[in-house]
Amino acid sequence: MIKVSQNQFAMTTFKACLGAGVERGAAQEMSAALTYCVGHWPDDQAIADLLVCDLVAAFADERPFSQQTQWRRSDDGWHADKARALADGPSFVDLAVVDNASTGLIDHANLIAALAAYRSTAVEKVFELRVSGTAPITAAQWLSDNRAESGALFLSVCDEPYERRASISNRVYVGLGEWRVLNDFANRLLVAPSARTLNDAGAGLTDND
Amino acid sequence: MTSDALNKADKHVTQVPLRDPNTVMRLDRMGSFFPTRLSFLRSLLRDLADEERKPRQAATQWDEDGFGHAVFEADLHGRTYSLIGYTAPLSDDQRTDRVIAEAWDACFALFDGVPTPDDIARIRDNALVQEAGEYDDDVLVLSRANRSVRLFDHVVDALAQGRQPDAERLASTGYLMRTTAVYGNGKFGISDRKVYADRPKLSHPFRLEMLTVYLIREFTLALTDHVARAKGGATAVALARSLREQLGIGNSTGLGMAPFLVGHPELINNWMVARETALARVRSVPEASAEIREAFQHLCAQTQRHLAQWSVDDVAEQARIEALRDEWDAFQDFVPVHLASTNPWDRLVDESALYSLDLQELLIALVLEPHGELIDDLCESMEAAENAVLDPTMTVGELKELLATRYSWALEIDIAAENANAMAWYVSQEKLEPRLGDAEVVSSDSQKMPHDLPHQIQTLSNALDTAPDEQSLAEFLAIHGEHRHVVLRAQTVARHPYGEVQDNLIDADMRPIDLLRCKLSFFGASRFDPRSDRWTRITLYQGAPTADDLSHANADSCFLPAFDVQNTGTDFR
Repeated sequence: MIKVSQNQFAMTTFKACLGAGVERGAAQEMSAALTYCVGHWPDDQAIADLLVCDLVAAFADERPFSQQTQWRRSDDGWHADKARALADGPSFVDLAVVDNASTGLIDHANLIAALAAYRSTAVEKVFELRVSGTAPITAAQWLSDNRAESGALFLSVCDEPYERRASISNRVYVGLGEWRVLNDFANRLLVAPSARTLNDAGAGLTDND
Repeated sequence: MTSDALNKADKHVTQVPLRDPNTVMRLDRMGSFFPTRLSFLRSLLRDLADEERKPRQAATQWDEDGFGHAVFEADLHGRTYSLIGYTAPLSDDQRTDRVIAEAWDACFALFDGVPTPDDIARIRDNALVQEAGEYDDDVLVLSRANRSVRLFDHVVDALAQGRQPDAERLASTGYLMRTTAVYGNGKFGISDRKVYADRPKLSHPFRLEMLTVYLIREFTLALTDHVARAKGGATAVALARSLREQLGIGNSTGLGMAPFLVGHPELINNWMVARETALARVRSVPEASAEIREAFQHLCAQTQRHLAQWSVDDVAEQARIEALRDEWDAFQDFVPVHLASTNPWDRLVDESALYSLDLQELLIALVLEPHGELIDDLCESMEAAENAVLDPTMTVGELKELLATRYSWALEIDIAAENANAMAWYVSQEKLEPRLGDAEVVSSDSQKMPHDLPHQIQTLSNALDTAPDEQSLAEFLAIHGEHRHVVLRAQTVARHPYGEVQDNLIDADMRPIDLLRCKLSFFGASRFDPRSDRWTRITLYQGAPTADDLSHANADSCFLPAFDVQNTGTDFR
C-alpha cells in the first residue's frame, strides 16, 4: 500500500480519468466523489480499496468514455441501457435529482454509489440504490456493505433525512499496483519534453547571481 | 450575486459601489496590482505581532560553513509551528531557480509542533530531495531556496571583516536567498490544508506558506551572521538592524502560478471581493482626519522613494516604472486638495482614472493603507470552501440568461481569429511544469489545459441554442456531457462574479506575467522584476520587521519599502 494525501488522491484520480478519456466535467465529479468517500467513511482503507479497484477496472474497458448512452423518459423516471459509470454516472445522478429516479444497466455500481453519496452533500437528500430483485439501500450503506450485484441499477431519492458526515481521515492508502495504473493514465496528459517545451517555460536556467 | 448585491451585503454602509468585475478582472489591470494591507503576508505579520512569544531560533547545528540544520519556531493562537532548515554544499552548475532543479543551497520543512531530534533526522533525507521524499502529515509546507551568490558572499565577507555591507547593494537586490518553490496542501504527500485550515489564525489563504517564508528570512539572516562569525572570529560583526530589515526573501515565479488563478474561481472571487469591498468602504469615508491626512502624505512620499529605488533589467518594464514615477510626481499635486475636501478618497480614486492602470492600482493600494481599522476584518473573508456541485435543475433558458449577463465578454471575443487560438497551456513531463507554447506543440486535446474559456463558453452557447429553453440541464448534459465542466464553472461564477479572468488566455498577445503579478500582489510581494513575459523575480517581506523587533507598532511598516541607502547603520550587535 502507498499512503497519499487527499489532495494527491484527488488530483491523481482526476488526471487519471482525463487520461483515460473521460470528459472533464465527469472526471471532475468522479474524482470529487471518490475523494469525499475515502475521507468520510469509517473504514477509509477498505473504501479506498473498493473504489480505486473499481476505477481501475473501469479504465480497462476498451470502449471510449464519451457519452453515447440513449436516455429515455417514462412515467417512473429515466432509463438507459448499457450505461457506463465513468461517462454516464454524473447524468445518472442528475436525472435522479430532477425526476427522482433513474434506472440503467450501468457498470461499476460502486462508482455510482460514490457519486450519489457525494451529490447528497449538495442537495441534502439521501439517495438509495437497488438492483432488480433486491431491497433498496442508501448509497452510504451500499458502499459500506461493498455490494457487488450486477443487473439493472435503480437510483432514487428516498425519505431518509440527510445528515452531514464529518471528515474522518486525511490520509488515503492505495494499493501500489492501482496507484501505478492511475499514474500511468494521469501521465498521458503530459507533453513529452523537447527543446521547444523547455523554451515554453520561459524561465532562466541559472541562479548564480 | 452582483457586485451591487455584494456591496449591500457588507456590514458597512457604503455609498460607493464596488467596481464592476468587467472593469477589475481584465488582465492588463490585474497585471498592475500592488500589494495592500490585506495581502497575506501583511495579515500574518499583524497576527504574529499579537503573539506573546515572537518567532525565535531554536535548535541549531551548523558547521563553520553554515552546513547542517536549524530550527525556527513561531506561535499562532496557542500552537507552535517550526521551520526546519537544512543546508548542504551545492556546486554552481546545480544552482538553478527553475522548479526542475534537483538540489538547492537550503531545503525547508514547516513542522506541525516542535520537532524532536528524531523528527529532524527523519525529515532531513526527504526534505533534501523535496518532491522525491516521503512525508507524513506533520510536515505542513515544503520549500527550498538558493543563495543570491554575489550578495551573500559580499555580506559575509564584509561582516567577517568587521564592517557593514554596502547598503545600496542590499537595497537593490533585496534578498540573500530566494525560494524556488513553496509547496503546501498535500503536495507530494505533506499535510492536506484541511487538516489545519479550521485552526484559529490558519484559515487565511497561504497562511502557513507565508509563515514559512518569514521564518526562512529569519533563518537566512541567522545563517549569514553565523558564517561571518565563523570566518571572522572576534573581528566579525552582526548585520545591522537597519540593514536586516532591507532584506526580504526573493522568489522566482513562473507559469505554475498562472493556472492557479484560473482553476480557483471561488477563491479568486473572495480575494477580489475583499479588496473591492475595502476600496468601497474607504471611498465612502466622508472626510479624512488630520491624523490620517498626515499618514497619507507620509505614504505618498514613501511611495515616491520606493518607485525611485525600484529598478529592473527588463527594458520595457523599466520604462513602465519610469512612466509611473513621472505620473506619480504629477498626481501628488492633487493629493492635498482632495484630502481637504469631502469624500476625499473617492475624489482621489476618481482623479486617478485619468492616468495609467499602474497609477490607478497603486493609488488603490495607497488609500487602503491608512484604514486598517476600517478594512482589516476583510482578511478573514478571503478563504473559500471550493465545493461547488452542479445544479441539474437549472434550465437551458436560465443558463443562457446567465451566460448573456456574466459571460458577455467571452461571447464577444472573435475566437475564429488567428491570434485567438495561437497558444496552448499544457504540462510538460519535466517535473510536471505548466508551459505555454504554440498550440501546435500539443498534439492531443486532452493534453491542453482548459484555459480557452471564451471558446468553451461559445461552444456551450451554440449547443444551448439547439435545446428547448425549458429543458433541465440534467437532460441537456445527458446528451452533451462534454459541457459539464463549463456549465459547473458558469454556475459557480454566477455566485462569484469576480471569479473569472475576463480575457482570452490562449491569444497570441496574452501576457502570463499579468496573472503572476496579480496573484503575487495578494501574497504581498513587492519589487516585481519580470525576466520575460512568463516569469518574474519578486521579494517578500522586504522592509518588514525582523522577529526580534516585531510589534504592533511596526507590523505594518513594510508597505512599498524604501530605504536610506546612504546609511549603513551603526547598531552592531
